[in-house]
Amino acid sequence: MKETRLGEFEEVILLLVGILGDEAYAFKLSEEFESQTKRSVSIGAVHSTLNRLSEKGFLTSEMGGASPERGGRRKRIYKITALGERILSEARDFRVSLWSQYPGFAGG
Amino acid sequence: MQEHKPLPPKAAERFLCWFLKTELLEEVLGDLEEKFYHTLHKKSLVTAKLSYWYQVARYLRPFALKTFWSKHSNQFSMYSHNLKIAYRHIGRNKTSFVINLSSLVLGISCALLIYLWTMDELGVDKFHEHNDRLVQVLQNDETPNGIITEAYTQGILAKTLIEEVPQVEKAVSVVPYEWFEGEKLLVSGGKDKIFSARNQFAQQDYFKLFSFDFIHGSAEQALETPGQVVITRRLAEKLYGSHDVVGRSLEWIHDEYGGLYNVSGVLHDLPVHSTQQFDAVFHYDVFLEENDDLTGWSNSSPYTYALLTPGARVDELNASLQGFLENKLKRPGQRLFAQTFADRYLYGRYESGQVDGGRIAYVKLFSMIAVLILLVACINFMNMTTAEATKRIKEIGIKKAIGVHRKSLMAQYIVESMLITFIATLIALSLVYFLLPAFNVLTGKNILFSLDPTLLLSIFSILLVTGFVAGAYPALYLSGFSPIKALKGKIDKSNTAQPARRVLVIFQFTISTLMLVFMVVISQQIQFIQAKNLGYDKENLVWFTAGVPAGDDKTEGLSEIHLESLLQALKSTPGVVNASNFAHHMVGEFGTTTGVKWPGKNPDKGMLFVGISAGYDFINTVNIEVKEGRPYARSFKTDHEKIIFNEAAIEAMGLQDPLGKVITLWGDKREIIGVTKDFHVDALYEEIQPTFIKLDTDEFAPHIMVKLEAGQETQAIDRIERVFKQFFAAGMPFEFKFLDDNLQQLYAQEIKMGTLSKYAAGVAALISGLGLFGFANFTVNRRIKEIGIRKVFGATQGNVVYLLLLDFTKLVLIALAVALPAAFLIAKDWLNEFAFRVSLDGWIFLGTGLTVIVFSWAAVGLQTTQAALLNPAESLKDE
Repeated sequence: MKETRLGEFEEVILLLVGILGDEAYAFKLSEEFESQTKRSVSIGAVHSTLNRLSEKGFLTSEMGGASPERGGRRKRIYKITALGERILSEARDFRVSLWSQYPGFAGG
Repeated sequence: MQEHKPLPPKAAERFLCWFLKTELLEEVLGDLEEKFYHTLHKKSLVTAKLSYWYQVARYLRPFALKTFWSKHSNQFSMYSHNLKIAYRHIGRNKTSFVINLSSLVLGISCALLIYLWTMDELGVDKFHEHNDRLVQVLQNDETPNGIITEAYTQGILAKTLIEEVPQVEKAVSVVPYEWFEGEKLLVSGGKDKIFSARNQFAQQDYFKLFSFDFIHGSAEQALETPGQVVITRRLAEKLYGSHDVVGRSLEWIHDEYGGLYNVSGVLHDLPVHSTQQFDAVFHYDVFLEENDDLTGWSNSSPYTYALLTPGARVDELNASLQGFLENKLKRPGQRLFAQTFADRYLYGRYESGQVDGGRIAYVKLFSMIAVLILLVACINFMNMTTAEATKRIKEIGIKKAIGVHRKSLMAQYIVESMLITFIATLIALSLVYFLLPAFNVLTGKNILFSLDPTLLLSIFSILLVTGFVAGAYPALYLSGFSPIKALKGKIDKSNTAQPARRVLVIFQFTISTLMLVFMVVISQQIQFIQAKNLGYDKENLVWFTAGVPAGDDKTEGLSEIHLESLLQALKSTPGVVNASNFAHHMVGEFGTTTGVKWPGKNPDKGMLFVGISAGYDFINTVNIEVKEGRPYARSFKTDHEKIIFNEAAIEAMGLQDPLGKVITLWGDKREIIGVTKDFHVDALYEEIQPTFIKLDTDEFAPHIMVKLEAGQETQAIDRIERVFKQFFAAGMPFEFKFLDDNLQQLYAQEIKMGTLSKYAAGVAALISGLGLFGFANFTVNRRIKEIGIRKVFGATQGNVVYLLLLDFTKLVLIALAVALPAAFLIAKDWLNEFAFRVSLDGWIFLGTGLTVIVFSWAAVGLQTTQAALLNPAESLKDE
């Protein structure tokens, strides 16, 4: 059995894949991560996480188009699978349920 | 489009291509390039390139790495196969494995210890920053006894060198602690805090030439004026209880150099690797002031060190020093030469004015011993492996038949021997770790065990070389079998390794015998030295140095009356047989002079005399035998104008009926009142010199020699200490020495080498013994059927034992025939250094030879007897 829980970094990357849609490949994801979180990350680290998420079955990928600034090389575009979407929403529901039990924020 | 579009760094790309999985290459290269141009757009090219490198480095993750060592690759499975075979082989042959391993462990530990010792010896005095430019200027004096090289040089030499010799950048005169010849130097940091210290004088630049680290103060400020002193941390803590003492005052209690000095610097304790050891450094001008004869060229006192200008070589300096002193002195006979300072420790012996080895001889000798011992251990391995080859012939045959290359078979045996060597190295390392403290005591060193890169590198190379040497022969030999013969089992009959193995055993025993003989000779010589009648009785002699007399005026010095009443008090102390004062205790300490003239002396021929200065009763106290005349005595009031010679002197001067004859010493007429038998004043390297004993009863002979009654030395020394406290200022330390210990120190080097060679020879013999044991084990096993058949035909047990022993004894005898003559030559060469030496009796060689034979019998005896006792029905039943 593969581990099916999500780590914080994994969760963010998974969400970013959803946000970027057709542009979800390692370089763009790392740029987006940096601009959204103000934290720097290497492409290698993102790539490694994408690889792990794919192994868990949360992502699929296929080779996309080439562009001149990549020296004519193709990129690998990632997509969330149904399982990935379910895991994400489970994670969100879990958080929301926790928030709703927190008295200080109950009204907020 | 731009002409020169900047590109990502090529090297980084190549690196990435090398380690990254091929299937990821396209996307990753693309991503990184996009990132590169993205960064370039915002920042500089350099930043972009650096960031590219960073991104590449961040791809060093397990998921992205190529698999270099696939578990399914051919190489990997071959290596694991080889290891497995090696492991199983070890399991099957436990005896030979244990023999191999223990001889390698012994050999490697021995080699490692010797390596550590050698490195330590080579490191002495090399820590100074300007190490390569530091030289010491030495002086060659032509004396009637040949050229004598000494370190003492002229007092203004350093100054003149700077002015006149182009190769010298800086130079300093240093009066070392040794110059005081054992005189006790006392310093005080306040009331009742008096300690003896090793004081030396040096010029200000001393600390710029030599890199001793300052805790407080600096090389620039220390010793600027004659009133200043630099001390070590240890002395500072003794005197003041702390080391931050710059500006405090220190008193030197001395009749010439005494006074208050200002501490201008505190040094870290001196490195153990420094041959210059001192506690305090005073300004050279203080010394010059008291010794104004040093402003000319005829007297020598300080050492002279020089710093060469960058790029200048020692031989260039030596060329400049040619004739230097002759010009200054306007007469021949004295010459200067320079030697690299750091070389002096290892190359500190001089023969007719030339550097002639020194400690380096021992360093070389022991390095050679280390290599030989390692070789002997490797030979065990070679022998055992080739001997067991017969058991592995089938394995080799099958491997060859299914197409294994000779190369990979060789690799297999090398891997096997590396594996065993590796295990042996690990055990040896831990052994060395635990043995090091004992080894330090033995060698008088302070070696620390730290796995620094050099040590690791050398261990690694010892491992590789040993593993290779041990494995190479078996690998070549075993892999050379023809597969058909191997499978048919025919190798045994045409056993080509048999003679080679014998040669190896002979070689092992030759080396062990050589070492054994050498060890015996060294310890014989040491025993001889210690038992040699020196011409006086060294037993129960204790000596110490008179201190500052009790009373107010400390600087007045020791008066003759005070000395005399001390001697009387000592003599009446129970347990004391006799007491006398002296200047030279005769154990390597004496004066020399050419200033003796006698009637009939050839005025053109100088003769060097040894001079001993001592008080009344000295001859009786140390028990020098008087042959004619009488010793000095208080009852004769004019003995200060007389003289006593030894036999050698009388003979050298050619005097008949010497008593009553008058000679001249340093211009004063003296009548000969006595002739003593010859006695030794130096190490037994030297012949007995013409010697005189001169009477001195004042502070010129400030040491006290006391002869104790045998059996109650401890109580007597306690009582002497009480007398000492009575006579000398409060706080004066009472430090005594047995004369015998001084004698031991004179031969410290030989004694150390003797002990070390004992261990080395022991280890070599043990390893060879182990080897022979294994060899016997194998041979006997192979001949078990033969023995069975012989017994069936009526051979007795004695016959069988004789048959087997003869075989081994032949090998040992050949080894002895080679080793003993060689050992004789080497030992003779070594003994030539001593003027008094043991004779190389035949029994040393006979004895060693017999020991080796008996030892070899002991090694093979067990198996031989077992084989002879075996019931032939047992050995022959399964054919």
